[in-house]
Amino acid sequence: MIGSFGMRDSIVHTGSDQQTIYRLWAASGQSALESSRILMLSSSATSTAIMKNLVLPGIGHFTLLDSTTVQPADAGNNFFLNGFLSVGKSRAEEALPLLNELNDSVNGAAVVKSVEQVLETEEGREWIRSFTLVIAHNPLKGTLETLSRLLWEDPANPPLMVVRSAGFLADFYIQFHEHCIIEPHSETAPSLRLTKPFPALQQWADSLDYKAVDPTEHAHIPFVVILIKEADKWRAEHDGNFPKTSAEKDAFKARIRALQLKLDEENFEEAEAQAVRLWREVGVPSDISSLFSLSPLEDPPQAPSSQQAQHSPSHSVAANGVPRQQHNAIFHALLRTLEKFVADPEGSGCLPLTSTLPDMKTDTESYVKLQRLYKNRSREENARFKELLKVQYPDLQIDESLVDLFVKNAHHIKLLRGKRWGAWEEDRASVGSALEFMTRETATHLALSALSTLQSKGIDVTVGALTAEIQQYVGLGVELPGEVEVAVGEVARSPTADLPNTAAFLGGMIAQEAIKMITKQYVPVNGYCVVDLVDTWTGIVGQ
Amino acid sequence: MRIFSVKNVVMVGFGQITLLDLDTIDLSNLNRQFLFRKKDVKQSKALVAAKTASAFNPNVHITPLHGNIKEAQFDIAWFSQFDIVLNALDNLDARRHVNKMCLAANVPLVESGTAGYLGQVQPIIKDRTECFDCAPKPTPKSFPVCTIRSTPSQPIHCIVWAKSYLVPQLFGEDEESGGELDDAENKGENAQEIANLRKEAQAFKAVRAALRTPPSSEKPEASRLAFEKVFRTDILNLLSMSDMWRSRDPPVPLNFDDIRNGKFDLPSKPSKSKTNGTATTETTAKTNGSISNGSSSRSSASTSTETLVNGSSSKQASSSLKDQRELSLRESLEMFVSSTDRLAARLRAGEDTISFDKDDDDTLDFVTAAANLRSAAYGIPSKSRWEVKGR
Repeated sequence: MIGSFGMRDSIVHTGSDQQTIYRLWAASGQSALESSRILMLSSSATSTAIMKNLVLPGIGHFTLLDSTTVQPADAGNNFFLNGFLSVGKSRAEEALPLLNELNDSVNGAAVVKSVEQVLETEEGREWIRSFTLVIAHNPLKGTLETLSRLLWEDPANPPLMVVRSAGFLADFYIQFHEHCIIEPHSETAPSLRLTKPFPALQQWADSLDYKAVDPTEHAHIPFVVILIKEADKWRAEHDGNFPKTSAEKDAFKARIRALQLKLDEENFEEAEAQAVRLWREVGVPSDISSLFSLSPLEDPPQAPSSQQAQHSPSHSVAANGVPRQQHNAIFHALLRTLEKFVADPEGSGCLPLTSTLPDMKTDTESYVKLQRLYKNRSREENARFKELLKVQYPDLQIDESLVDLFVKNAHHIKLLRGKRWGAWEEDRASVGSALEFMTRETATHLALSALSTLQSKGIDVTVGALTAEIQQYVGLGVELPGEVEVAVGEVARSPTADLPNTAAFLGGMIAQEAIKMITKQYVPVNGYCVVDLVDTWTGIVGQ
Repeated sequence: MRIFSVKNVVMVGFGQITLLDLDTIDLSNLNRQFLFRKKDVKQSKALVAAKTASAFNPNVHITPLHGNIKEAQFDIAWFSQFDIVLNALDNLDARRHVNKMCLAANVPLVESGTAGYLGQVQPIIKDRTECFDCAPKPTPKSFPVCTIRSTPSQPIHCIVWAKSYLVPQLFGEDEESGGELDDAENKGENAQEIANLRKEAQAFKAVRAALRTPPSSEKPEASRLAFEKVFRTDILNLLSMSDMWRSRDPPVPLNFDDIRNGKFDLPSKPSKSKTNGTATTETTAKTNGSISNGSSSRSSASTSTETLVNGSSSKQASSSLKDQRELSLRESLEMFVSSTDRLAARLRAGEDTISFDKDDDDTLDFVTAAANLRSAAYGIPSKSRWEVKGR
């Protein structure tokens, strides 16, 4: 009975059916997912739960690397083993068939070797580097150090996700040098350019005469035009400044209210409500302009042959005439171009205009007219951006649709820089301050680190030993808060339990972060994400 | 979702589990609910899940029940036998019901739900926590996409369809309108149905092209093409998904020529009121281009649908509608043809896109006619008010 369990005879993961569920990250994300290769170190309950949530959406390939055999405890908690029939057999090989059954289009493999063994040879290290993403669950401390350093050597190496769990507590970390996101799926509305209207829009505002239009038209003037017109008037009287103090802002809103001819003119109400855009909208938001100062990471110089093997030709851009590889060269080329675009003396000094308008109280004619103005302008600016790109990077091979996507998302792009696994803990001051301000998250993280240290040294996991270890990390003079005691108590209670519930929770969460990394969509966790299922909270430390 | 929790509950080793689900397994469940296999399609979810999950822990006893939680047999005494109830329901009504029953039976309830990337869990214990209905729940503002696009049941569904879907599809911008469908499936609407709707959207291309090229005697009129596409082909396509119509009345494909010649009869069902060529109802009141908000009177003997009254001032339609008479199916067809022709002429005269505007008579006519035709095809009863302008 147990052995006959199968997920699906023949899978429906073909054609449109597959796409329907995974449209969350669009075709581009799905194709990134389908060409990804994941290395999973361990085939514990947590590992297989993570893999389940990556196999279902359809990664290309996964390998379970695990030299252990199934213990009775595994049989009790791991859904993907054949229960007690699996005891004594290779854990990776036993877990593989049921994971494979979830999705025919995913290619899975089991390798019965230890990570330590693989890390010993250059061939093995090269094999690890060949994956898109490496995920490790509860690795030994020394192994993790070797592995994280190996993958940190070169920005082109795959990111490493480290997952540690004990009973109801867990944390995970993604080690990456740099992560560039063109589609973070941000909810924030892009600028309407109200503070720096483009000529055609300005012209409309200038030509508008409230008295010359009939009452119906008056009640349908788009708020965009009202705001531009009123802002101009205001600035003429205030040395070119927009309303600044809260009294000025109130006065400005009162002016708009006064323009209302009848109480039900909703377009003026809208203008009043949207006036906030005038004091919030900036040409280039600081989170974007701060990216301009980042120079691309350069991969360390290596023998030319291995260099070639790791990079596709389109990624190679000569910087300063030195034939070195730049990491994420295309994104940086687009970023540089964006910097040029906003500095362009012929331009507006703003990020490229997006053509999407919010809903507004107006008539069809005005809305369509407004839409056309924005669309035309955004087309012009898109063309200008491409011109600048061409001038700056004449030889860059880039898909035009990618440029369009970048320009469209210029308000939302993200560039994350990460740290090596463990680098944060080496900074005692930083950990000490986190223990003060992010107490429970830091306490739980340190308790898991202490557990890992004790296990690697073969020391019995006791409250005393764990606490002593944590005291080492933060410095002997530091008084440990009560939260440390709580976390240490919980870790000491269940140092090795891989509970089905915790595994299921982590499986969903970590697969989701892995998908973000692979698809380069949405913003992944940068730091240690700590999970406590006793009190049910999550938090992030060590950013 | 609920299936994953069944797995976890079994793995942890609860002693006795009663599993209740109204649904049967749909093909589209297979790629996210992994206790089911292809051979299980159309079987009871509860029965199959219980069988598969039991294998993981022989010490757990699972009692599957295939039924609706709102049935009378699941009374307070029935609820009282449990130590805890886990809700993994997909609708507000059932959630409220279980909430009440658990409070009455004094059984702790874990209430949960997801939508796309969002989800929530709430433990509910009588007199100790707030209950599900303590905080008012927002009533969903929009209609589920599948209701609008495949399974309308109220006049408003047809109006929204005509206004927000058909008008943009035919006369709006030629942009991939997949966003709405993407959102819908993120919210967990039927995947197979959505795949079907995507196909349907593709076929609009030909009609769009016809509307934008000058008419010629060799080609069928664009208005007829549009009619055939939405009131015949799409409906036939929907009918082919037989699962959809097991618990609902299927729509009837309309026939252009038969309606025009007065030969088209909708099959009459005792439960439904129909619009047909011989409607004899009184009318909704119409004042100068606007449709009154309800208060329509209906003749007692009539079986006809309360139909949209056209508020147009267009030359052709206005004279025949001055008396505020309700439209017959044939009149709806004629109005569909004439308004489509007028809109197509505007496109050809250089208008880029046309979107619905209640003050634009051509679009109001079009929406009125299309919504009427769709209501007729779906046999939609006429109890609620029709307000095209107001919506």
